Amino acid sequence: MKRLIWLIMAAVIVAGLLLPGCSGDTDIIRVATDATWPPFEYVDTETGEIVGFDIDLFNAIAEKAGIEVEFINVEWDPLLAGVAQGTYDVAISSITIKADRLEQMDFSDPYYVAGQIIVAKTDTTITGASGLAGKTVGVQTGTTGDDEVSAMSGVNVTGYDEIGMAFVALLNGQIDAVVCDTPVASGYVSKYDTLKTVGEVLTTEEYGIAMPKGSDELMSKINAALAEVKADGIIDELVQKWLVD
Amino acid sequence: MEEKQKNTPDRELSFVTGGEVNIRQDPWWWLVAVVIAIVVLLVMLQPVPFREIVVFARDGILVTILVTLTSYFLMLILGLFGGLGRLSKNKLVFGISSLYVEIIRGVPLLVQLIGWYFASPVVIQKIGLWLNFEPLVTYRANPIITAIVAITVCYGAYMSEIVRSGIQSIPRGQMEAARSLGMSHFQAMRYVVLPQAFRVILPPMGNEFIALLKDSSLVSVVAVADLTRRGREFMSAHFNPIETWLMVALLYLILTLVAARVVSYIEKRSRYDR
Repeated sequence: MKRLIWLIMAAVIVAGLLLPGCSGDTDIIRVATDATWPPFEYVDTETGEIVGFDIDLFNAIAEKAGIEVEFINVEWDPLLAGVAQGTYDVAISSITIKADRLEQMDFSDPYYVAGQIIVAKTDTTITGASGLAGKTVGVQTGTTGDDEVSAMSGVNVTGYDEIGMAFVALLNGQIDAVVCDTPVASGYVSKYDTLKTVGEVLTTEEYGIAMPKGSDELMSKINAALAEVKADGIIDELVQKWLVD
Repeated sequence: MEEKQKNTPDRELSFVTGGEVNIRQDPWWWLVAVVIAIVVLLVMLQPVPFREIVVFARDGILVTILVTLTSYFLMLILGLFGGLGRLSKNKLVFGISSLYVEIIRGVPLLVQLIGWYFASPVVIQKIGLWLNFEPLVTYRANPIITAIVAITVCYGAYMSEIVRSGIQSIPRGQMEAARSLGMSHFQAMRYVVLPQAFRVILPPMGNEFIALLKDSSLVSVVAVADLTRRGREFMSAHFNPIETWLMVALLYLILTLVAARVVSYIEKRSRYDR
């Protein structure tokens, strides 16, 4: 009996360490993405695959550039840290090109223009950015929404690890508004009829593909492929497919 | 006479956890059954989204169980050595194990996980460059293995203290008697002290397992697709946080309740009346 228990323990340990597998091929480009941001990147719950605008776009770029890719699903903060450190070769995850991020990592040419927008309950008195003074606004920490709202004076900013939690807080009346990217906002507004977008788009920002500093070779490949993809009109097709409904 | 004395305590204690004699009398299994019934009801009455969540999170559950079991068994080994080290008369061994325990206990598990996943590849790559050893330079952290190592190291520190206290609770007389019978220190430990200490540390060991199972949700931060991460992915794709988190919480509850029942059973089987 004792021997059996030792055997089982050893088997579990070996299984646990071997099953996950080895580190893998170094020729495949590791692309990190935080697949919790529909419709740009999210997990299709029926197939379990990572899908979205960014995924299709990068697959198209990879085809043009002749590289093989592997998508890795990581949370937002470790994703940025990982790119800055070189753990991932590329990251595509609705990452806005910002000055402080440019210090840590390199960005490709922009591929999409987005903006931040305010979401609030339908019975709200907020009509625009000026109405946020004195209110509590939820954002996802580390995003441009966070930067935007923190820069406004007199606004109570509440940071959440994940934008979905901010929306739960809004639905429960814990906070007065949420500020996030327009596509995600429209997703939630169309799902819950007690929410609506308020006012105009607050910022214009450009999404870029992030790479660790010094990836010049990969950068030029990707930029060249991105230019071809734009010239072929693929981006417009993807906008129609993912962002217009 | 003997029969009557044995029967009465069983009946009186049958509603106190730990007083039951066998599984069939253990009322807390009913709690597990109730929670499973709730999950099944939710899945059947409202398949959208509950059934979808359960189906989608299937592999997450397996990853959670795998990470928990592997880290647990590795942690037991590490804890045993750590605990023995803490009791050692050798200054170096004592120093190393004490340092290990104090430092690891002082840093939150989440910070350690992130440290292992992001900092260790950099360290390993630098060592590879210094030694000019190619495989180390291109080292890429495998998320699950890194997570298992991080949890093992963290919980091993706590386990060391539990083992140490278990060994110290055994009266010195046992060790002295074993030594006077001619056993070496190692033999005395192996055949007399540790088996007794094992019974003492069984309850905290069970506790650590359940705590580890819940803390395994932190591995979702370092790219391991466990149950919590699957919950997040589902919630963001379908915009329904409340239902998703309810189902994820119930699934974790089933896992921990079953684990608690198993721990309780093992405790009873190995207990003796002192």
